Amino acid sequence: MAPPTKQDFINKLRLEKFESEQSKAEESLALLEHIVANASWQTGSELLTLLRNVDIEVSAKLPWETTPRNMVQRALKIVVDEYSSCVGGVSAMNTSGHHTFPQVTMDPTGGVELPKCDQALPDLRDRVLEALAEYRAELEQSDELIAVQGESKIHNDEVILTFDWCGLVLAFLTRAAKKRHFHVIVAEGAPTYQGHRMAESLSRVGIQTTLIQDCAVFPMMSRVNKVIIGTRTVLSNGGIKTDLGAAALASAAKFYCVPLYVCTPTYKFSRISGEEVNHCGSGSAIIPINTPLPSSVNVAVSKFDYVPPENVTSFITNNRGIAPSYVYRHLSELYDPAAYHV
Amino acid sequence: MAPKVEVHEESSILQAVILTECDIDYGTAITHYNPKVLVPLANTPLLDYTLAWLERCGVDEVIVYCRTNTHTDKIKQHCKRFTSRREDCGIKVMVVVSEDCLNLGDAMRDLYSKSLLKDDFILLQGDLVATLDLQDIVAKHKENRLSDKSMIMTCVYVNKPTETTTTTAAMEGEEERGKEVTATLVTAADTGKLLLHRRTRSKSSKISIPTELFQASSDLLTYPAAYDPSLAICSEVVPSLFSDNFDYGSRDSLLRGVIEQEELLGYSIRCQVVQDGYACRASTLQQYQRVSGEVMRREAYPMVCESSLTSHRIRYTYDPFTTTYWEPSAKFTKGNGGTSEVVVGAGTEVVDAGTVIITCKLFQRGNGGTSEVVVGAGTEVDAGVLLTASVVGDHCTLSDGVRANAAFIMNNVHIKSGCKLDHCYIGDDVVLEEGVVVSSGCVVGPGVRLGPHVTIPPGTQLVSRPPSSTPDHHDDFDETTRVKEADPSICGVKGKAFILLPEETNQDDDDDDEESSDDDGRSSGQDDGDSEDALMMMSDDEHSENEFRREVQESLMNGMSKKSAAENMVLEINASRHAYNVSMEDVLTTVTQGILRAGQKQDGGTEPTWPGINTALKCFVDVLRNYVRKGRDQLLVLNAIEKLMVDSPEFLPATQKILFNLNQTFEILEGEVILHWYKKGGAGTTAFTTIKTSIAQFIEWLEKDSEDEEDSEDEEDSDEECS
Repeated sequence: MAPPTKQDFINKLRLEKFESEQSKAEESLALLEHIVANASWQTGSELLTLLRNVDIEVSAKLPWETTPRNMVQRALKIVVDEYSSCVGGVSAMNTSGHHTFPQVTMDPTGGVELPKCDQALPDLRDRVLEALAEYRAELEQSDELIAVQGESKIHNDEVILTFDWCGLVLAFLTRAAKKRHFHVIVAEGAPTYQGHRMAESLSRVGIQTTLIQDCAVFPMMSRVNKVIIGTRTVLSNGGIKTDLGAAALASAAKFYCVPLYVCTPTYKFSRISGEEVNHCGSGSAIIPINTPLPSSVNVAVSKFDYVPPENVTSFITNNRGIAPSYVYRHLSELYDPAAYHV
Repeated sequence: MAPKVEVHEESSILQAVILTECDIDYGTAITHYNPKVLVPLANTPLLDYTLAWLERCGVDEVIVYCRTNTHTDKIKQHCKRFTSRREDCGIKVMVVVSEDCLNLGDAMRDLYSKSLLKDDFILLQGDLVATLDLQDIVAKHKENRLSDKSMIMTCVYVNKPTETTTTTAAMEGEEERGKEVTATLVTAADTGKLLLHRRTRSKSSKISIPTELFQASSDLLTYPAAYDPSLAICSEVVPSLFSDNFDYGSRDSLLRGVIEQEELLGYSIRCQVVQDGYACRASTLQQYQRVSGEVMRREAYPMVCESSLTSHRIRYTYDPFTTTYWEPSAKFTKGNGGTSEVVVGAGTEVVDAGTVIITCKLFQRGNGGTSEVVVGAGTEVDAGVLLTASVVGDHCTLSDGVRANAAFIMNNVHIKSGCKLDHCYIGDDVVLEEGVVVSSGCVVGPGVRLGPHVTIPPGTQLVSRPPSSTPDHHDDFDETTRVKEADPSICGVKGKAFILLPEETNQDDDDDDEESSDDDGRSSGQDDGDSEDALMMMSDDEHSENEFRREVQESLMNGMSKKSAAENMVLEINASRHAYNVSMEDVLTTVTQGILRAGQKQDGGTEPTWPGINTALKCFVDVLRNYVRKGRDQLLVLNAIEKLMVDSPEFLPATQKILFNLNQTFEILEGEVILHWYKKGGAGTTAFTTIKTSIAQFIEWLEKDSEDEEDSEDEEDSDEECS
């Protein structure tokens, strides 16, 4: 297999050739590993710059793609950690206890300077690769770790409402269905109607399934016990950015005090703070073919929805359940503070 | 995810041929400075749309085919830039330059001889903006080719829902456009084989289908007006077919040839009418405007204005509510009554964001909701500017009070306050001083200065330099343009502009406009607005007609003085007729009038006298008789005489005698015909009423004559009366 290149990866991302966020995460990690292993770099700082270039390129071209950027941030954190532990091991200059590099200086323009890791450490490459391999293992089992929580979260004869297609939620429900007997209502997820696919898959594994329109979530909500959805991104304030229709669903759940769980691996936790990036689609997605619509009618199609943190009960992650108000803490564990700006 | 891609890599590489010398172009004022394919549409060159689409569809190699001219290097550089951005790992772009490529057929023959095409390839024009699923189309083509080896080409058509909306707006010269870009298709329902291909011409609601088509196939699918994006998937047979048949100039001629000689060649053509996806050619400026609007309305998604097609970066901020795009560095100066509560987008300065709201208000006021505006980098737009359906390039300034509707403003343009722009194209570095009004259909070439306070009439093409006096122009340009001096009454006191007369650029096929002469009489190539088009057609016709008239007159005068034989005269006139491609009717009109005028001139005086006319008539009676064969021709003679009276009323007194002699002496006009003509009110010109009174006597006599036909005395009586 040809080595992954940045250009290929971005092209693939641009042409929407990835099936899921999981594959985006895995592929971007492969790209980062390739950069660490094969690119020519001497000092930690050089490596950090190389890695951050991926982030910059993605954010300039596809600002709505958060997963690859999260992966880069995670890799940066790994490099910095490995560097500091290396330095700590090699030279005893470390007086404060853990960090040898100077504290982060915030650029007034909003840009963030990378921590200085100027020493050339021969074994840094291997150590970083080792840590990345570890992280890859974590990444690969994250779905499984979430799915096993299914049976503990769902009880017999419950009515679960879900929305659109999400492989993770499907795995979660499928696993739960082995022990529990419950009913799933699927909102169809216009205009892509991936909910149809979800309903089909659910009924195939023997779960009693009902398909409803997106706008019919409110009348259904009174009989629902739990709402379980996936997401594209978890924002730093604890809200989520996901497919269109989720906000209405979440508000309805809030109105009926139905708990809303979001299944998400930790790589979807993003430093992005708000609903600022909305990716706009084309009117042809919602207007049926051969509909003569005068050009004076303005058609606006957005692709993402924002669910505020107060409408999210909890995140089901591969680590543990995380409440929206604790997302910021989790972020500071995942990513380097240098790459963390709110 | 991965296997999907690899399936395609297994098969041989997919090639595409882009013809940059499109059959129709935008007129010299634009294409002299920039090749058509590099004209920016919504601030992105047209070629980029095509390349980006092909890249997206997994095409491996693109051959950009162009002709050697001043723009070749520009195209080469552009393609190089496009691929180097992709670090040469994406699509491969090859620029093939040919010395003498005049049309699609030549290009195919050339590529065949260079054997650059290995397998099935996609053939398209460089001005196409499309989002069709090419992989699907190519897969279907291959599938069909496997089952039927004789199938050599798949023509792709689009069933455009938007077509209906444009036909309602037909007043904007859409008929002309419809003729060029749509085709009537009849296909076999089961195989999709193309049985009939016709460019739509008639306005009637009926389509005639030859009955023999029904014998061959039981199910026929008919598409009365399928939009033709000039897109075809060709097998390797197509170029060889072109090289075998040197008369195939365009794709249409190939279609015609293959369909008509199916038994002979043993080939067939499939057509596929695609329902979803977007495809439209920005072939003329009208179409350019339309495509521009559709791209701004995001119909060509995922090719949208805010992301650059070269670098894929997000370059513009997009407001879906008003369909406005602006580069973050564009400045919208704050006007009075602005609101300050704004959500600041990433990378947008507060000043900009605040004022965008204000301009949005302006946009809405102008066009009831949608505005569709693209504003490029570093452009400054004052608060009082009203933009609708317009594109503004980089580093422009638009001062207070500028109104622009469907204006395409390129880079570094400065427009001072009070200017009004409507449906026009403003080239690079143009300066419009205060109060300039640019009417619809105008093209203002790069570097032109206009104003202050001038109004440019509709359909004018302006260039900055008198084309013939500049040394760096290639020769054909000089020949084909007529130049006026920079006239302050046209371009204003501070202005610097020359009108480029459009009539002759139409005729030249030396310039970039390659295939117009070959393409089924699509004569009016570079139309802009309908007004300009009409103007162009009229002046063109009139021009050749005048020439013809002059020549006929000359030969008649010569013939009269030399007393040439009638058949020689006819020969001479017919030669002129063929030279100017004049219809038979016009010949008759011209000859009739010519003879009468010859009589006048022969006499020497300005006043036409009967004796002079009589000699002329006597002299040329055989010539005239040669042309008058049917009753209809007699009517034409009568009409011609009437029209002559409109132009030169001095013939009026002689009319009665002319008619009488033509009727009685020379027996060219029958009495019945004259009566019929008279009763119908002649040709309906203004002169008829006066003619009516002057020939009343003659008519009266004719009527009597037809009542009692045998009465010969009567004839003699009136003979005396008349003479």
